[in-house]
Amino acid sequence: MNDKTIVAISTPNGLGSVGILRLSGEKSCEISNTLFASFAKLAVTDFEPNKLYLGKMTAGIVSDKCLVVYFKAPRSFTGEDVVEFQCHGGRVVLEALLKSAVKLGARPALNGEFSRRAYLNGKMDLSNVEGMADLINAESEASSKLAFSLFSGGITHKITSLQEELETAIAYVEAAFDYPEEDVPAMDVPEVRIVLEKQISALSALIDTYKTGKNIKEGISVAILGKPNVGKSSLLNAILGEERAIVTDIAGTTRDVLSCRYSYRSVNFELFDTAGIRASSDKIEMIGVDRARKIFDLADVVIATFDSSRPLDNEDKEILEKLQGKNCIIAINKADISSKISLNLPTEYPIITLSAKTQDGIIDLKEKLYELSNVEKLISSESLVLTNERHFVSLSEALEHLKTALEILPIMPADCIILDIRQAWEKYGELTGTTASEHIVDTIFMKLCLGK
Amino acid sequence: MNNIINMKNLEFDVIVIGGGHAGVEASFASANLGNRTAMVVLDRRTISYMACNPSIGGTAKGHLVREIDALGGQMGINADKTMLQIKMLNRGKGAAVQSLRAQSDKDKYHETMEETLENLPNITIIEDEATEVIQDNGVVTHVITKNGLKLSAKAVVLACGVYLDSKIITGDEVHNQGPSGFASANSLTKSLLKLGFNIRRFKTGTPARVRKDSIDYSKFEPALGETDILPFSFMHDFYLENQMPCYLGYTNEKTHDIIRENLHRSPLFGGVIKGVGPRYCPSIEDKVVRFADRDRHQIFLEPETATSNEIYVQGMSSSLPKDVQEAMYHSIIGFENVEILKYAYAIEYDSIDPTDLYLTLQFKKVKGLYTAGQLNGSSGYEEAAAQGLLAGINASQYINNKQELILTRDSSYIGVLIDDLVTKGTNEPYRMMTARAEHRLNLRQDNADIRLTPIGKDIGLVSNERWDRLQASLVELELAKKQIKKGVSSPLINPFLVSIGQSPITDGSTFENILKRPGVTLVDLVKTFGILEEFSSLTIQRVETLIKYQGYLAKETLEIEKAKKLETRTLPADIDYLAIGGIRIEARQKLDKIRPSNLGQASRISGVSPADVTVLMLYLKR
Repeated sequence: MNDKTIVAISTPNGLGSVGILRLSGEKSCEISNTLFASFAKLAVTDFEPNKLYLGKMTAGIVSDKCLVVYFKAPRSFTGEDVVEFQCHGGRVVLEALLKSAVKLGARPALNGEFSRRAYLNGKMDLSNVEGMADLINAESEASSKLAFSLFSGGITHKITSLQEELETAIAYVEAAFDYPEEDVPAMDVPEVRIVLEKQISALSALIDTYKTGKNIKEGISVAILGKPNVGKSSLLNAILGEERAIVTDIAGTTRDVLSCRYSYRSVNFELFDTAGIRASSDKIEMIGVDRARKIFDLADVVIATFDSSRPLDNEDKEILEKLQGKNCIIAINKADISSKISLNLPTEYPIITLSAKTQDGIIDLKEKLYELSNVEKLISSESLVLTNERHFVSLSEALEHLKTALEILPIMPADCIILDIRQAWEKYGELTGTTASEHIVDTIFMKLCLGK
Repeated sequence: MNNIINMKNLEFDVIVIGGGHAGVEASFASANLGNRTAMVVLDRRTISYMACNPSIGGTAKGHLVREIDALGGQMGINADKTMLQIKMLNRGKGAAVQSLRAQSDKDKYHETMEETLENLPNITIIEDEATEVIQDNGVVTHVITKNGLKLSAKAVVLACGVYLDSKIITGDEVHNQGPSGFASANSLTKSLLKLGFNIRRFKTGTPARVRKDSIDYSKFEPALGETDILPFSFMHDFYLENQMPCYLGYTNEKTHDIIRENLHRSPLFGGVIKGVGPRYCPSIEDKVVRFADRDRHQIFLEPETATSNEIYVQGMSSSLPKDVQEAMYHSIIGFENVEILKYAYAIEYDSIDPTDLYLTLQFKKVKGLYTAGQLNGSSGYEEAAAQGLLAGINASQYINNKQELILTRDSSYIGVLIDDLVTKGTNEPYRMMTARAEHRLNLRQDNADIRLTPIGKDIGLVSNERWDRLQASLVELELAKKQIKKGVSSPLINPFLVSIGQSPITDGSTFENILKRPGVTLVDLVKTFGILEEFSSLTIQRVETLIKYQGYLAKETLEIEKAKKLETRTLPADIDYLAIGGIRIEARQKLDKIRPSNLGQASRISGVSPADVTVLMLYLKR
């Protein structure tokens, strides 16, 4: 179907010690053969698949000693014949090789075309493709770990096992419908309840990881909040280690929301500097204050900033009241000046005394933010983390159906209860690709002895 | 009676090949719609012959019978006239999965149907073997018979059942025969191949028939029918009295040992049988091998007719040699002295690949050629009859230039059956199951007439009497729905509620609200309070279901609406699937072969994933 053989340089632009060129398609071997003479004196087609061969490649006037590996269809990334050249780094060699390959009949690959072919040839399901894309775009180590679990099918695997478990329950109930007079082992209310409760708890746990998972992928949002002139912008600059926000001693300097990304211990954070919250007659400033409030509502973590050189006033207290129920750190800034702040600050939040000016306590703050991001637990354990919105939506819907089924279990007839259970099963299927009701029929006959 | 063939007039509108459950419905539909119809049948005795179990209906199959009846077909009426026992299955499991099942007098079933058929105008029964179907330029034109007739037709319905090149197998005894010793049809397959059909080999089987007076019935448990239920047809309101019992018994370890010791003599395991058998009715040796941990399997003894001495032993189908059958049947408690009248056998036969058909049951490669029944790879009388009816209707619609009838999955089990066969194909004889109908809450046996009689009327198969009965029962239903809303005071209702273990009410309520409580039945309310007393039991059942299932029916209706978005997106006939990038290659090939008529059908093709459908949708938008 993809009759054209494609070629691309797979390693990024720039200098590296090794550069890889990859061919995929029917003519991969033929083209490689012209470009490469193995020291083993074997044609590429005769290579043992998945094994590296050393030899000499010649592309126009350029030649290099390099390694070539042949992945035989369908056992390759794309499902087609794939040949990879591992040359010495540097664009000259690779580009010469690419040019020669094109001259010999290959076409430069389009963006993502290797993955696309892998998908079209049934080598990856959609979740894998999504995982792949995440993996390539991953900005931090933590998010690449998550992406890898998606790519390697961790989530699909988990959902498949949930789906299979549900499928067995459905099969038993359906078998009793369709073969009422045979001694089918009963799957009655108590058995169904056990399955539903188990599914609901597993699914809830998985869905709960979504927020964290999303955080890891997209960054944890941190809002710096406080009344004007407590040093929010200085704090942002201190955390970033560069002068990003304009700092003056004029209250109300920051009028709009400023956002910057940084990474700490392989976790991404998105930091929001906001306008100081106060009543003002300045229209523009008030828009900024409004935005600050919105950011406050949406942020994963809030750094409530106070000025240690002044006692808490009403505006400070108002902010403190708002913190209720938020994931929050209290930062006492300007610790280098003096401490006049009253010490009746709420104790349920971690308090960090710091100076944006001298950098004292900034590391403590970063460490605390990392702790609150909750990723440590997730990455270190082998547990799965949901990062993809499509997965989140389907699984949330599945959970709703299962909850409804459990709720009506004692009161409605079996044909109604099974309706919600089957809908949950279909929601799983949206992610695993198994939605055909024929599967349920197959399971019925695999598990049970039925029929006259 | 114009069924004696006039050699000068060999021209027909529709020719139906086969007189089994599919052939009969096709012939009826075609003739009733005013077409000159010929039924070519190998042997008149095979008309509506019940070659396997002497019963009609069962789970999901009972739904099919009611739907056939609602459209104006014959099976329900004939089953009602000839039944020996009737039962409502799954009473405790909810309205959607309740199905009627009747034991039938198989001789009477055949005789009654043949007689009704003979009394129809427009029909000619030709007792002969069809050997060839002729097409010209992709349009069907003639049927040739063994006796040298060349019959012309505008449309042909193939309903040859299991008679194509059929082989009866008992151990190493193999005979070229159809069921029960009838002749097989050995020429037609060649003609079908020539027309472009893909032919597969399927297999099924039947148990032994034993002498009634050689059974020790004291060792079996009687299984009785129910006298308080209406029969299949919406045209009938009688209750069957004096029902004949069936009997329940079991195999035992000794039976299983005999089977295991003789497995090497089974043609199934020895490789003699090459056809694919249904999981839905496995042979006893299949069950013993696949479920080795079971120490017994159920058997049912069913009367073949009201008067004969033959008993059908459901659950004991087999293709083992006769001496092994003797030993295993005799090992059953109560069968110590049993006398086998006909041995169990397996039957292998040719069938077509139903994915070669359109949803109208017309063959994709030859216009005017329809196929139905076991030939299409289904199993069961009811599945066959349903397809026969649709093929007969569509043959008639086709020759009269009218829109052919496609029943959707949300309209009927018949729709599900045909869509499954045509869209997904089948690798074994296909049995209807309620599990296959995703909208089954709406597809109940109690509302088949409401769903389908209007469609039957449009086609022209519904008699005035049937139409009037539907109208009357709809009026009754509306009245009943109003009356159930009647208020009820707490002093009146509370003693009743307490008596059935329900909590009493403090303020007044309505009967409708009381009925919504789990554990309260409408029948109880009718008995205790006399409400809805004048209404028929069908209406009572309908009202109860509508009220108790209210939320769920609404929910399913939403699902149907959602599904409709795909079902109504038609796919152009000339679409080049192989060239659509973004769809996985396997899916492109499947789409190209099936050529679905809409996105919904496309989504049900095995090998087409939800992602492929999304891409197809985007492609259509362009």
